[in-house]
Amino acid sequence: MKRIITVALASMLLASCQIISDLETKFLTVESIGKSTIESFFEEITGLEAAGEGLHHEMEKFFDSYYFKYAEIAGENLSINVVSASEGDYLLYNYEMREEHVATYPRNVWGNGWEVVTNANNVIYYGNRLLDREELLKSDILRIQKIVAWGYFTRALMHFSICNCYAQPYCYTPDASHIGIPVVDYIPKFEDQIGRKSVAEVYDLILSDLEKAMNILAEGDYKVDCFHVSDVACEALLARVHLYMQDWDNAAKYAKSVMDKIPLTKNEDYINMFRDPFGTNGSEAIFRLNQYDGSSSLVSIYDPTRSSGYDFFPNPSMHNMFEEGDVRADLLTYIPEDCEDESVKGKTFNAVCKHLAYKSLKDEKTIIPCPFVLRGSEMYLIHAEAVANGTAHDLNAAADDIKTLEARARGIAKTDVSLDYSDLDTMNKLIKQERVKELSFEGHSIFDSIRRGEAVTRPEDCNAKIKRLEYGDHRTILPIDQMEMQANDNMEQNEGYR
Amino acid sequence: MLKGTVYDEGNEPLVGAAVIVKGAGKETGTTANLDGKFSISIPAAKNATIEVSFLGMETKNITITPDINDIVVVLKSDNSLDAAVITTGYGLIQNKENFAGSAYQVTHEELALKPAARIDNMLAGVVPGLTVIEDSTNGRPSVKIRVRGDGSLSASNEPLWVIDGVPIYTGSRTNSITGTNGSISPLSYINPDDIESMTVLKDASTTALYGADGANGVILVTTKNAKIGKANFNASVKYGVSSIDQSTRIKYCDAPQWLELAKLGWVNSGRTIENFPYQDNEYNSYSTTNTDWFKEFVQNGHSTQVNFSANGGTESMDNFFSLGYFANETPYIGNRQQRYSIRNKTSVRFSEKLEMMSNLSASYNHNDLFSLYSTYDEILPIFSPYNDDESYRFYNWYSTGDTYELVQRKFHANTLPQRNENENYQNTISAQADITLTWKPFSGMTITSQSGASFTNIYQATYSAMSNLSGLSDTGKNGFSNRYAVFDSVLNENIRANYNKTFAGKHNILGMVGLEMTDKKHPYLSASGNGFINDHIKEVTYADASTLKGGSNTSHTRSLSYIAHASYTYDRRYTLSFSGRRQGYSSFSEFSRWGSFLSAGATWNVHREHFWKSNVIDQLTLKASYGNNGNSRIDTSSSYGSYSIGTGSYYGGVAGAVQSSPANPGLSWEKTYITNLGATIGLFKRLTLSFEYYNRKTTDLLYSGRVSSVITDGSVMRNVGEITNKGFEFEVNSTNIKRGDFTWSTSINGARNRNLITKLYKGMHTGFFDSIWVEGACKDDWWLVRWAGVDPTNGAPMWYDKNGDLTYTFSYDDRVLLPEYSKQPDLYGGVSNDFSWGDFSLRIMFDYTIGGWEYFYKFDYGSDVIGSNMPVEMMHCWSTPGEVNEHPKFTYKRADLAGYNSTKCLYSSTSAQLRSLTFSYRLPKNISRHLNVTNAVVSLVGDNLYFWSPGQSRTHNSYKTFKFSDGMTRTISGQISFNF
Repeated sequence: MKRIITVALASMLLASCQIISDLETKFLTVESIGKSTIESFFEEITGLEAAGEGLHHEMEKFFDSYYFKYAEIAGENLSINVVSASEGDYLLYNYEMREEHVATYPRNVWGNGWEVVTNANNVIYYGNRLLDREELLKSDILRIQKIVAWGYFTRALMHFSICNCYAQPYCYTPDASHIGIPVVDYIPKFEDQIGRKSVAEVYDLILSDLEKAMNILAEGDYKVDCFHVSDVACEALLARVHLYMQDWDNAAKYAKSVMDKIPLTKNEDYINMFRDPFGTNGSEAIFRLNQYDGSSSLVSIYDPTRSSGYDFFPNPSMHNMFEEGDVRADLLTYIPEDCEDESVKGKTFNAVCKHLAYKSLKDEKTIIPCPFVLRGSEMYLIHAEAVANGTAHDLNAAADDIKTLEARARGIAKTDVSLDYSDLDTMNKLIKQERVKELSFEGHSIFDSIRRGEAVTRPEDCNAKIKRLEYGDHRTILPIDQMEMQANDNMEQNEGYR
Repeated sequence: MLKGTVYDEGNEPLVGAAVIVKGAGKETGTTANLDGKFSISIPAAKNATIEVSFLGMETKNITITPDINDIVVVLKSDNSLDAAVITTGYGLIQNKENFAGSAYQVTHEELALKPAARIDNMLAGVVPGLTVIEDSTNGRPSVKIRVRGDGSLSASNEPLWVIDGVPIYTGSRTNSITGTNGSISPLSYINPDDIESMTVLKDASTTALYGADGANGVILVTTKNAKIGKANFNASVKYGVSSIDQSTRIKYCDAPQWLELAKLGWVNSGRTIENFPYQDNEYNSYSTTNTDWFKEFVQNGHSTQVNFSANGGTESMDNFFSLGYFANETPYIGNRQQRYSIRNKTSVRFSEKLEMMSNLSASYNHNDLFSLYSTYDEILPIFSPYNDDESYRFYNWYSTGDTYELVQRKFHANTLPQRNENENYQNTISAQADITLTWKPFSGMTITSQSGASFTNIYQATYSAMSNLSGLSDTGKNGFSNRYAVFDSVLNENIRANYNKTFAGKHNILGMVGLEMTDKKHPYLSASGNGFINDHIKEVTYADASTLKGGSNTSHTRSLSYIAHASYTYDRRYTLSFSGRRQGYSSFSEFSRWGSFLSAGATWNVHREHFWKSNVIDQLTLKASYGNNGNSRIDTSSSYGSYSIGTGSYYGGVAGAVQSSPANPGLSWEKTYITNLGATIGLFKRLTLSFEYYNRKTTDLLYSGRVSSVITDGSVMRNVGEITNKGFEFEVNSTNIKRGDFTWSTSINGARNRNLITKLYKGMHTGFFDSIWVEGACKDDWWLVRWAGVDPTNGAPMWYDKNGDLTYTFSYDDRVLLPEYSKQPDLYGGVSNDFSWGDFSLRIMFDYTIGGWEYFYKFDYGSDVIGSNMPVEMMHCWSTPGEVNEHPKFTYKRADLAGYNSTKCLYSSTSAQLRSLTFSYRLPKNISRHLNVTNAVVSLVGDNLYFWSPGQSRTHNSYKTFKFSDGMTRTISGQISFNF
């Protein structure tokens, strides 16, 4: 009897302890509104979908704020306005970046780049976890898979972009065994040891992620706009990655596949495709970044009408590259519109207009550029380079691609375009020149030189202090920033910056 | 057998009054019961003396002759003893003499007549070890409070404010109010006239009861209570005029001086005078303009304060009621504060055992805000705020390049039109409601339930008018309107049982156990738009639809705690006390949600020992305490990792979500361990000396450290690192002269604090512009390049590099840690002198600071002379070879960074400030009778009357002029107060 009472009392005590403990937990569990814990955020498909939009936002921020500026300022086509250019841009332009410049490119490209990767890894991990759930509707599976595919594409694109900035190009060593960047295909924890892998290993991840993304997106037959990742975007990026690897056959294959699907933007839409991005998307748009109602750091370095003027402007000699009537030349001359300030009206500026939307647009939120990550014209140039340099050395096929672009730009028939080429060297020069005409200021400049093993060369009329950087010079890539070096014992600095 | 009853003056039985029979060889004692009755045996046939005592009452000795066997004893409340009790919250009232902790109580007498704008800076110079850092930048004052130094690097260093038992929201980590544009301290919403006392808790034995919020000290505010008896009314009116003490302003050049300097700098930089940017033209006449911008922005301020209070009641019900109005127009035109406040405190006693009190208070506050242009005093004196036709000037014409070319430039610095045409105000309703139920089931036991709620609703409207530059948009959609609203609430429930009893006259037991639950919510929202038809419409609804923006957000935290306190005093000689709190906090993850805070203290009243026989030393009390508390005021959302949706992560106008912080499951609160040692010595019954030493060690310091950016780009909060604050405090209270009705008393307090960072994450240092956190160093030491003077041959600046070698090149790499230059003064505190003679009284209060260094970067030796005004010293820079001068050659756009962050910018903070001078006169009885009042007092008060620093001068700048970025505000006011 006594024992029974003891047991009963003890269990009552335990039970009441349990009740109190439960009550305590209940009272202290508070959901922060607006911010959601990572786990609970991904409980619902809607959370995953919001994270999908967030991924695009992150890419937009990375490319607009850092990557496009890095590629062009360190590249060949810009002259500087020393008075207004920011300290970081000035140092980069003069190739004076050092490990301790943590307020600018070395840290910003790195930190923000990996931030995008983190978001991509979250989407992939939690998206796949959602897919493990039972009793999903077919339509739900499709919704989830699309976002997961976006995660794969983003992860590939970011590894590719970060690697471009911090590692020598793929062909720097015959087997790409030289130092690359960390390969992060998981959600890292604070204790994890993070170190750099070879470029070959980085490209393995890029290729496999892009294959995965492409297959999912192709299977799902999704209707997406050019502001979101599509299966064609995966193919187009695969073309570019293979071009960087100098895997000519695959580059040509993927480029051709995209060319067959995507018609070039017509001559009459060409300028508006850049300057009125929400009015005229351009039929060749594959993937461009939507900056609606946002801000653009490209505008702030290229707009000549700001009170301090532009920070950078095209080398004057660029104007001479174009034939008469080439619509692309018009994108190098800024003519203020009627609605603009008295102080600039009537003047003209040698400026990068690709990233300056018309200020007279009705909806204020659309007066913003939507820079291209991938567009059709690039595919013609990849195709040209791949077929010319591939085993067959098909120079005529390459010339045909260039003629297509020239004809479109000048508003004439392809047959009216004449090209002078006799050997591969000349053809490669023509291709490179066409790349400058077509793709300048779109985030290719420095990479287009070093991926081919060429020196970075600025023309005579460029006002830079340094006009030539040899291939392999450590300054053609960025140093790993000091904060990373200090916080991470496993991190290895780039040669030349140690 | 003697029987008796003990009452107080209000005929209330004094439960627990001690009765001791004296002089009978062996002392015997008893205590009065619930009805105040006692009985005690008296040695027969002999005259005996009994001593009747009660906390806070004057002790009475009564001779008992054998024929007396039933007496009534009435104890008078001892006003001198009022100060002998200390309130430490949760119903704990302790005798100061037996009190083991460190707490400082400021009574309403000391607070009376202080500037009433806000309650925090009333404590300046009064409490040892408490620093009030007043910073008035751009005409908007802000106040920071530090109790015994900075105990944290990343979490808040502000103390916790508790008003009548309910913690109030005083803003985030840095006192800023989330959700509004510009913060107004909630401590300005309280009418200081309602305050009975403020108690600052400093050591672990008192703050451990406040657990996770106690690490930076706790300030308890207790409001006035009703007194039983006839209704008593008080009314007072105070009016003051404030102005800026001109001698504390930075001395800048006037227009002719500036022109001379600017031209000198221009020419010295190799440019030619023909290209000087400011040449008279048809729009600007530079040679004839001489504007004193200070006068444009500053005028005399006015403050008015009207208070009325009533109190009184019966044994079953009493009431305290007050009304207050306060209006303050600061000297910085455009800044106005108005406060209408009301408080009602009613106690109802249903029976002797059951009582209910309601304490309701509310205030309506209207604040007009105008932030001065950040460097308004550096606007060039050659610019005029007006055009020739007296309209506001929006443009100036001058040259901006190295060759003269006249261009039109917007005159953004001229904010006068914005002050007059724009709108920026906050309307705040702040209300507090407490319901307290007390039940006294048996003698000594009190069971209390206190439910408190505190609400703050803020509405802010700002409008930038299109009639000036601030309201003009590049897109032509002119006029900018912003609306903000904050709905802040704190709900607090405290249930506790208190026990207080003295047994046999010798054993006093004080105990408390309780439960506290707190729920804090902070929702806020905003809306904005631009593009109005004219400047009268202003409301966001009527803005251009494409510009409309809005948003809302909420933060919500909860805390649950178990609290306990026990103390035992033997014979008023020895006291042991223990306090503890176990607290759970919703923001921390489950792994570290709960924290325990414990403390213990002991006191020894040496002078009460039988062996103590000294006519000199009448009090000698030694005390010690040790314990810990915590600091939870950090951004804690990261413990789970979070995703956030916000306008910041929209994509193409669609809501996108991004990770805002990675999961940080180990995050926990900082723990602070405080050792406190103290001694109080009383001499000749007129001098009291108290001294305290403390060692405050914070471990698990929240430190925002870095991991690889591959994991997360932001810094990560981690519990790593340790910091120690050591220091001492003293207070001397002396009654210098007491003769007839003349009294002169002096109170001096002082403190010193030094901190030391003992551990940091991975031993890594974190450098800032002029300071650095390094293991083994003091956080408050300056980190600067050492200045080596000016080369007399060419006027070039010189420094010492890292190795101590002379260099002509400034480099941040040459910054060294300078233990000889600490921000912390060697000693700081206050001195107050009180004189009273009959109906006159006079109080003079000084603050003083000895040692310590402050950094002011004001001399750039011409770098920016074309754009901004310069201090007058620049007129006397190096000019001829061979000249020995502390100021290098004056050059526009100099490249050598002269004047940059070197020791040249350090100024000793040794100084003294005449903080207040208060003179009061009580009108003679016959006059007050004539006025139909019982009491009438006229007072004259001067605040911030004078500031002194050793290097001060009429002609050049010194610490005195740099310390106050906007000058010291001096106030003269008069008050008349009636009781009836």
